[in-house]
Amino acid sequence: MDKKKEPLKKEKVAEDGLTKKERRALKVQVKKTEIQNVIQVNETIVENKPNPEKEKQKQNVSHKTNDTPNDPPVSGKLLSDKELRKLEWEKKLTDQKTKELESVKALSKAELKAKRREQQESQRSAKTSSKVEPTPTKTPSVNIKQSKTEPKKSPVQKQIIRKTIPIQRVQLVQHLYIDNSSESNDKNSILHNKVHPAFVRLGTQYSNKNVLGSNARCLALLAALKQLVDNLQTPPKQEFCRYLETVLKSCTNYLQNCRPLAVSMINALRNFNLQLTQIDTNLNDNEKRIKLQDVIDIYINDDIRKAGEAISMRVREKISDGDVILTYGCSSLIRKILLEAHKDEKKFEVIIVDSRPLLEGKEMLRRLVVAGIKCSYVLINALSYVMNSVTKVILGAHALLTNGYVMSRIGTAQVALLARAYNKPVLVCCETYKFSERVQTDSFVYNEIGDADLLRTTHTSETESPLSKTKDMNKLMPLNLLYDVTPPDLVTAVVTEIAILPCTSVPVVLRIHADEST
Amino acid sequence: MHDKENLSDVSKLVSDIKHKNILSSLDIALRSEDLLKELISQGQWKSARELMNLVKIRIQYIKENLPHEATAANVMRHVLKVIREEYECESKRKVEGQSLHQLVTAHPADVLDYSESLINLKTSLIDHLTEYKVELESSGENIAAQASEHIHMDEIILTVGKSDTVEKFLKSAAKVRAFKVVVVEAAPLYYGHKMAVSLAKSNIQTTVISDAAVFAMMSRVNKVIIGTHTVLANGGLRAASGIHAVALAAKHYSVPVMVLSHMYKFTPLYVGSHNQEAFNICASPANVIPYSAGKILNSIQVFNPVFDYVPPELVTLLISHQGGNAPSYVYRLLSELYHQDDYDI
Amino acid sequence: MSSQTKDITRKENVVQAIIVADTFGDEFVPISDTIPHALLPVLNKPLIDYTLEFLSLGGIEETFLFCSNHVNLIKEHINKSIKNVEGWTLTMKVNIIISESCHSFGDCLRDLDAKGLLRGDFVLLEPGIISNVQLLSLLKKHGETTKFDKYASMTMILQEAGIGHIGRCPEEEIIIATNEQNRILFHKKMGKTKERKLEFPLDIFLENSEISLLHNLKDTHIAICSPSVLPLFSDNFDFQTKDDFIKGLLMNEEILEGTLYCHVLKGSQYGGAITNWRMYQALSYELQNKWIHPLSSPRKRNRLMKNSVIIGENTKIPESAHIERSVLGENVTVGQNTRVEHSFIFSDCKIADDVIISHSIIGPHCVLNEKSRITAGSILGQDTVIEKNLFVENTLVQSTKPDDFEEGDKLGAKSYRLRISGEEDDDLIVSSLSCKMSKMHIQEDNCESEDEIEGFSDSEEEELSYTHSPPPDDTKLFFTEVIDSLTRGFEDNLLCDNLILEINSSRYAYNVTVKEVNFNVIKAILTMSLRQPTGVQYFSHLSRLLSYFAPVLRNYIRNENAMVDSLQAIEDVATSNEDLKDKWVMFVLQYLYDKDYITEEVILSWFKTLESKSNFHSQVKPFTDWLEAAEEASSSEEESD
Repeated sequence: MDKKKEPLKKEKVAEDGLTKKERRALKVQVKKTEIQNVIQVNETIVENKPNPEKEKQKQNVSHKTNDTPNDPPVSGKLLSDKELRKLEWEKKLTDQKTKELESVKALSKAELKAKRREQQESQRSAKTSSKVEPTPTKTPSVNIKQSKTEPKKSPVQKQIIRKTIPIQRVQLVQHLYIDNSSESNDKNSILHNKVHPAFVRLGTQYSNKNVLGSNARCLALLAALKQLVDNLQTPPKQEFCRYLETVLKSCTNYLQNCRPLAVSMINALRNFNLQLTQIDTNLNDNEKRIKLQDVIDIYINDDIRKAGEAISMRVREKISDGDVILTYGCSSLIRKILLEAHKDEKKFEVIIVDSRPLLEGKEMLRRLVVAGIKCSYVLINALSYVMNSVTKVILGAHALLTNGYVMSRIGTAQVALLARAYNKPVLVCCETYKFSERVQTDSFVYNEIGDADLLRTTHTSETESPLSKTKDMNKLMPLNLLYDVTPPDLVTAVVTEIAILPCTSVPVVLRIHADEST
Repeated sequence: MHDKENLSDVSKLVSDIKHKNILSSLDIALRSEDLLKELISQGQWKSARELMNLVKIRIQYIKENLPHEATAANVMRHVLKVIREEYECESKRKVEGQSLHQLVTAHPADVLDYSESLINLKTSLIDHLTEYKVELESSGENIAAQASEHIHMDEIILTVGKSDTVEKFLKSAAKVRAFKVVVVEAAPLYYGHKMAVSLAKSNIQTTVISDAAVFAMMSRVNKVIIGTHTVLANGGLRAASGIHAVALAAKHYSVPVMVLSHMYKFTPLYVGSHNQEAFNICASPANVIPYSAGKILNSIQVFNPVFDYVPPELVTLLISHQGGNAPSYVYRLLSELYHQDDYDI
Repeated sequence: MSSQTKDITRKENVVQAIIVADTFGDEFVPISDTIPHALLPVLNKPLIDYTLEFLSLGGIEETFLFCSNHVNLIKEHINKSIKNVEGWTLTMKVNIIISESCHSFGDCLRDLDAKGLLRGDFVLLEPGIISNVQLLSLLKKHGETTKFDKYASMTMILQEAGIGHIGRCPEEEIIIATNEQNRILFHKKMGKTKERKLEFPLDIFLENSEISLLHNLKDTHIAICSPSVLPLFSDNFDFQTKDDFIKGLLMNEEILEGTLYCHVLKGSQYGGAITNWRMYQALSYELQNKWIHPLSSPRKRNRLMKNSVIIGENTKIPESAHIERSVLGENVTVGQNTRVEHSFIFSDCKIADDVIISHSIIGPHCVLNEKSRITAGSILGQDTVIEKNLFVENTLVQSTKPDDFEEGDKLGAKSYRLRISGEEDDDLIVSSLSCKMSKMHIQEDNCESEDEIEGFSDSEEEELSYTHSPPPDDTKLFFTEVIDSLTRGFEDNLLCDNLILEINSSRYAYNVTVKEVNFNVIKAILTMSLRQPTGVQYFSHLSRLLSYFAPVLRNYIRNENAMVDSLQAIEDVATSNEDLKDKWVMFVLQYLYDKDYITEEVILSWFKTLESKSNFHSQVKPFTDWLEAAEEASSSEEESD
């Protein structure tokens, strides 16, 4: 996998020899070459589309005897195609330098279509194989790059898949299904000309659920944004910031299509856009770039990192020896808090509650156990079995709504409800950058629908689920909602970096924020 | 130690339950009824008292060996009451309704000691038991027949896991009404999947949700209809794990919770505290986290409880073949079903 | 000899099972001198009861129990159970077969073959099995297998278990290769060998289109056998154990006309056998944690205390005693201020005040006097008396004088050290025992990383064995990936830009932070240098390496934060490698400083954060001294880039 990049790079010697000593410039340069190369790499992967399938047959050892040991099966195949790729690279190199994105277009339409289909299939099989894989090793990155090759195509591919399977919709949540009608898609495919590859990759990561959790999603978005700012070349006669704005717009539209934006992301983007309008127009492009990157860095540092640390400090004060803390799912913030509290040599136990179909709590469990925290693990149905022994419930949040409701991973409300029934304090930890101006009183107003087929499986039972064979049954539909909202009366307090507040203080915080930013 | 030979019938029943040869509670009830009929007709007893002792020994045996099995003991307990009644009937000394006055003024000599040997007792008991069996067998249908009273057009009904009674109930309602069912899958056993397939096959619009989505879903649900393992003396339930959360969510959204239960599930047992050790049993954690998870299992605890205690205030209605009752009325039903003296055996 | 319980009328198609009750080994000495293996108390209930209940629940109707030691005790126990109408007696007939002439597992089966008691497919259990497997469905499956392969003689029942799991016995590590039909083509028990290399016969790959290599399994010691198994044992007198049988069958498939299959348990089905003390401990815990549901410890006799402690009847624990994760038998008296951790105390023991017991097994009727300490895998035989203040560690102790008694083995009037696990001995059995270090699992929680690296380097097996285990730490993976890239880059003389690209892509793949990237890249480069010979040329080599990776360094050490990261990396490498040369730190710092990767201010401020007494501090000290001294002299040169 790694080796495949080497031959590609060799042609670049001359260019690199000229790189300036000045670091910024170098960085920009490197990034640029990176994009070019990655694109190139992707071309080659397309040539090798049977690879993921091959991975799937990993057990088929007899085929593998030619491969070098210790390398994933992909590399063996790639090496054999080395020469072919080299030729192609040389051919491409000429037009590549000027127009990176256009180069992809150079391929004939028919070719593209055929490729698209094949690629889609290989992607799907890669997906299934990556599920089997224990570690997030190389398959995910393969996936990402594949989609990057032909950025505009990924939504189209999905369309094809959807068309073959009759769409089942639960009537109750009709409004929540993302509309994938063909016209919107055509529009998208045009739009995607302007979508930066980093965003295309991000989009796939979101839709494949490789990047999960509102903090992680936001950070990934900001990283992509930084890259965009870095790489963006203003066309003549256009102002950098204005152009960036339009490009960003199309990028976010694309992301929205992959998976609806998280509140954290919306807020981060809003902040960025605000800063964008305030930037001094007299600066030259490079200076603007630096400035905008600083803006992003500051946001990451202050609103996300430092806020997390402040919350962690506050909650740690509340954890005392002998506590039994119940938490739900895998919130990065809660994990940080618990790990740091453990480092402070507080003696406490953790009960991790988890639920199907994502079972994120397993990751939480693994990390806490590695750190040496005493843990118990239950599914959400056993809540009332364990709740009696709990002393505190600490939950993460996806967003805090203006009316005080907490939007969070599905099941959170149930945990809070049960904690209330047993009179246990419920602390919700949430950075203020996740506060939202939206109002919502139940989980149906706005929500996201996950892959319903996940509910057709059983993860530990001896026999296959009877649902797995009922895909054509139109009376039967699984529904996989991703979020729910917890009413404020079930939450004892919200811990933010500003203070420990009641849920209903959200509008106050939002107003302060608004004051600050203007 | 009672002589073991005589217990072979009940130990066979216990072993069959343990071996999972009989699964549904109805089958257990019928088997216990058969067992007693056999005992009455073939057993070595001379007076009602002796017969009652034989039955009591069996109840004790079941309690010892299957502490969480209520059905068989309840059926036997009910038969004890039948024996008492028949005896009173036969001996023509039936005490008409025990009013407070009578209880206070009762003379010790008036208390029945069931020691007389009556000729007709055996036949009348057998007759009564045959009747009882018919009642048991038709109980499910009787409950299902009430379905159209409770389910109306376009309602959204939420149910958890799989219960034969609920399944029958919903299917019976589906014949006259069009409504939607939301089935909670009830991981880690996934009985909800089976239930959903079965309902969908009967042309009921069915949606399967994960256990975590109950609260989110509840705001749109009109009624919660569930089955239960036992109904406790205070009107609370010992039901499948996860139902407590469902009932709480229903309470939060003021959705009525209806519990379908056969009469033999009413148990004269109080569970006041949340003492899980005595009340619950834990199944293999393998359903929660696979054994192959490896090293991590050395240092963690995993629980897979089978039951939940649902307090009576969360239950709106208990529906048996006699119709609906509030949980606060359970004490009265119990006194109709069993004799006061047999509550605690 | 055979005892009938209830008449089982159907003589045809009776489902039969064989239990071999003896281990024929000395794993359980000295306890096994007085208690037969089958009657070993597991959570205060004899082991054989669990096995019989399992067979009964599994659908077995007739069982042959083979014993050759302590026959009367076992017979008595079985008869007692039958008298008390235990659950299994209703559905299963148990025949005890006594064969004092048998000295191995194979002998027992040969004996059985001679008796001709078995009629069809049967279940073969090795000693000490506790399980909840549904046997009938497995028998059916085996029946189906025999339909298309008439030579199918045995289906081994295996269970998935992750490496490092307590229930996975290190001595019984196996690797098997199967084809699509689950036929076993290769089987190797890894536990006995220290080799880390395996040779698979090429034939199996040539003859089959698909092969699975499985290393994620543990043997449940349950096997479904065709009637042909017994004659095979009779024909081959060198088959002493099941392993011999498997090995022999795989080697001479054509001659012996027998094939092996396997079945991997799914869901909540569990199987395991108590073959040594470690497994005794493991199965006790798993029974306690309900993994073998519905089998469980007897509720009537046991009480569950906090800290996962189970105590038997008439056992009382004083307030001041601290007991954790242990099982105490009946009628045990526990003194004040006693500590018991991870131990098993059999019935009728007397423990005086201030005794410490950890990771040990105390046989029945033992007496431990004041302030004695029994630790680290000690096993005390029946009736042992431990004197006051005696300290026993990793020793087998018995109450009577052993045959090979030597001076110094006497610990007290009624306690003698049993030399079997003592000092290193040339005797084969002894050395194999002592290499186990301990007979119990001792605090193995923290040796995580070691095992992971130790594992098997063959990537396929690794992936297979970890099929369901959680992914290892991302950062660690990232680090190894970086090292790989850089090493290869250096060896193949690749352009550093490509390497940067590679590192960046791995960074996204593992989702590590910028800080970690900086740290790990510097650490990787430095670690690489350590692989080189530490001779005179070491420093020249190191500087060659550093100058080669100059673009990489420049790319990652961009700002002050990154500089601090790299300094931390240096510290990390320096402190984790003891045998570094003294001047190594100096050299690296000097180099980075000279080449303007790291500024003076950063070094100085970082230096202040170091612990002033540490060894590392003293290594850096000369350099900073030099820096401070040079400060006056040079003023304009120290600008980054």
